[in-house]
Amino acid sequence: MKTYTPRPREHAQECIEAYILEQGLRANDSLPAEREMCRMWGLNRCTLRSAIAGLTAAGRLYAVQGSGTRIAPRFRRTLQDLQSFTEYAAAGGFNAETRLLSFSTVECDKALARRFRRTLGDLFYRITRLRILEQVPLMIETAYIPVELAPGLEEQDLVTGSLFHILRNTYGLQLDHGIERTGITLTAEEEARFLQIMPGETAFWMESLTEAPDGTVIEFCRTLGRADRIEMASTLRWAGEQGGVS
Amino acid sequence: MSQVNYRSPLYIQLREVIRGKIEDGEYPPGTAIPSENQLADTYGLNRLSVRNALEALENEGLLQSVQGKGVFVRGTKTLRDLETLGGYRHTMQERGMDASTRVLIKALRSAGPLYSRLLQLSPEDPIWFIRRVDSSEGEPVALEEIYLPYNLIPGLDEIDIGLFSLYDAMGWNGIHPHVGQQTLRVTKLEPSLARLIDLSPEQAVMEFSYLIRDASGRTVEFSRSWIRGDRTEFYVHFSD
Repeated sequence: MKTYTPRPREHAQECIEAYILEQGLRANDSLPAEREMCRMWGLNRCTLRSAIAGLTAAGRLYAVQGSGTRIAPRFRRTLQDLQSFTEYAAAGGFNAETRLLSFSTVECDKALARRFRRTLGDLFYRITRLRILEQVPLMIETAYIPVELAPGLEEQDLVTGSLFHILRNTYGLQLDHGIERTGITLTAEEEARFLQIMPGETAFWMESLTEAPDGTVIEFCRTLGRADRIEMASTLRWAGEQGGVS
Repeated sequence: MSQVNYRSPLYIQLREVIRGKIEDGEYPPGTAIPSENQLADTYGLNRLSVRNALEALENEGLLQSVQGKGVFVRGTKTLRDLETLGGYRHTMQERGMDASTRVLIKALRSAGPLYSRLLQLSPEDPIWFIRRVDSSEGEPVALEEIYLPYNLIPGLDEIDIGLFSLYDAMGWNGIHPHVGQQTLRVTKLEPSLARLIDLSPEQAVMEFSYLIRDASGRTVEFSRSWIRGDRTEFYVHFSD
């Protein structure tokens, strides 16, 4: 039977990650001083630093000049519910801000026609908003909604209010279910400028299509989000009886 | 992602034109798109703009340039769901794709500070550590590291996990995975690991971590997998 012994650096990383879990450290909390960590886990300085460098490169930690190492903040997005950015921020007690980048009315093109099962030329609202969490520009969301479903949307407060809340309460629309797709892409110049990252850096993209109980498509939303600040969570369910699979 | 209009740089406009043609099937997978010269002529652009547009799409994994032959449309990305527990090969086989697994490490180690916490064990307890590479159609797509409590499957050493799935092995030992918590992040891999899936260490990769429990709430597996983002996209259903 083979045995595996983690390398010193790997062991040191496991110690740090275990400590974060144990202490329930959250975004921007500090790790103890290097000297202290070496003492706690019986590590030498060099190994500890190499482990910290590894976790920093992986986006788990970040260094603050003169005051040690902290836990990198991540906006945790649950993929299987309809919680909006506004609701998430309120639930977590985060400081959130929204900037309306553009609001316009557009005609249905080929791509929208396919997604909404509507005809070319139908009118849509197109709303592009920048979401800022704890002073960090996190994502650009572009939402499309048929004008017919929410006439007068331009009068509504889309900066401090939640779009889903308005659709539900002002227009009586039932946002019931949908499908979300996600992946990674590279940012173009303008997108990178809004997100305050370098053009060409990797970003998450997400596309969601939200329907009413009867299958009417209410909203299509395209999001581009900072890969270093977002993580996505979902719950997996056992698919049932399967043979010979992994 | 942001809206492209007449004020957008020309290479971005061209990028979106080509993307549209790929999505609409006008440029089907496996075929070459018009040459740089042809595109430059058609749209009245210089070669540099054309090259910038094509490079952007190559980076996204939509196009692939083949030395001396042209630029080809890649097969559509593998679509994976983020809601069923059932394993990689199952997902691939359902889609009629040829999937294979190469086991690099299958060994016993002590749980240590981290995995003892995640797997509800003591740090000295033995666990299985598995590292493997999954390939689809002959190309490596994912690197996986799996941690399992030894006492749940003491006979794992005898089971060829290149042939049978871990979930089969669990089932033979009376363990039935029931629910998993999954987290997806974007990260970078250490060079020695990145190499295993033909990735350069500068390239971003998608990292999934899973904590899987059985019906009684016992943790039966912790694993991480790193998936090439240029070859995969994911979907999930949501409801109120």
